[in-house]
Amino acid sequence: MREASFLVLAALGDQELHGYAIIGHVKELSGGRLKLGPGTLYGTLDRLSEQGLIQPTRTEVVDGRLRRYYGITGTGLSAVRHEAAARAETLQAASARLHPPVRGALA
Amino acid sequence: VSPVERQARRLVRSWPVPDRVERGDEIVGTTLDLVPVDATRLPVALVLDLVIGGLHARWRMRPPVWRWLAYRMGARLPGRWHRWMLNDLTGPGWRRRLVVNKLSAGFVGCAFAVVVVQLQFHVHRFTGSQLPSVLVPFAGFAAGTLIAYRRRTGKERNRQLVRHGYGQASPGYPPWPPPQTPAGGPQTAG
Repeated sequence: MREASFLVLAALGDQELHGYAIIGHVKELSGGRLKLGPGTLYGTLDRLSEQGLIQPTRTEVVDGRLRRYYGITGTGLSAVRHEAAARAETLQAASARLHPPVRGALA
Repeated sequence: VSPVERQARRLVRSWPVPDRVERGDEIVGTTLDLVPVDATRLPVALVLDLVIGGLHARWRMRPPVWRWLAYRMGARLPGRWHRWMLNDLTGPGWRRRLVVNKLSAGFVGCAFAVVVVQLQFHVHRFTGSQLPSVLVPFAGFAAGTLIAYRRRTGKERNRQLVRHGYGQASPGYPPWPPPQTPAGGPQTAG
């Protein structure tokens, strides 16, 4: 799963969000590293929708601008949880190699 | 309409027509949310992202070459590409696309026939001017094809729509996103 897809799904994990809010949450989750533009965001939302991982829930107009909210589906939630667990395992294994116990470290 | 909004709406034209119809306002709204209220132009990075995203959406929407060729020959496209097919058959310029596609096939056939005839003439060491004898039927065939397909493009279009399971009268685009499976309803995390 691409990082942008993973972070979008993670952002939608506990609430429904519109496009602009998703961009903000993804930026926050990635520590400011990933700043999605509208082209990348809607491409990612298209792919996730086609895969049945998210779906639009409602629309509203704020200050004359149309906002469509997206929610995660049951399939999407399972997928992002699985991906998060896999990433955590990888991170743990990498950390163990980079920070070995003091006894095993070379001088 | 502010200059920034006008610029955003112009850039959204890089997206496929169905996307513009269904989500153009949403994409423009999100783009405007990303720039300061007093901005007069969109940042270059945002412009590039919007245009590249649109071109990518166009590419993703199109069927692969072999499916496209089969479709042009009259085959049915799977549902995954019905949005593209409906835009192809009912979107702006559908008549021109249908005529151009049929004619291009006719021209390729004519060019092939010309080559064959030329080779035949050379083989038999035909003397005198060969050009009119080749060009006249070529031009006649092309003109005939043009007239014929201008007259029957509507029928051709309707036949293709029916073949794909749609009515003949302006069917519109299939809903976006595609229908979910029953197990995939929206929910929040527990």
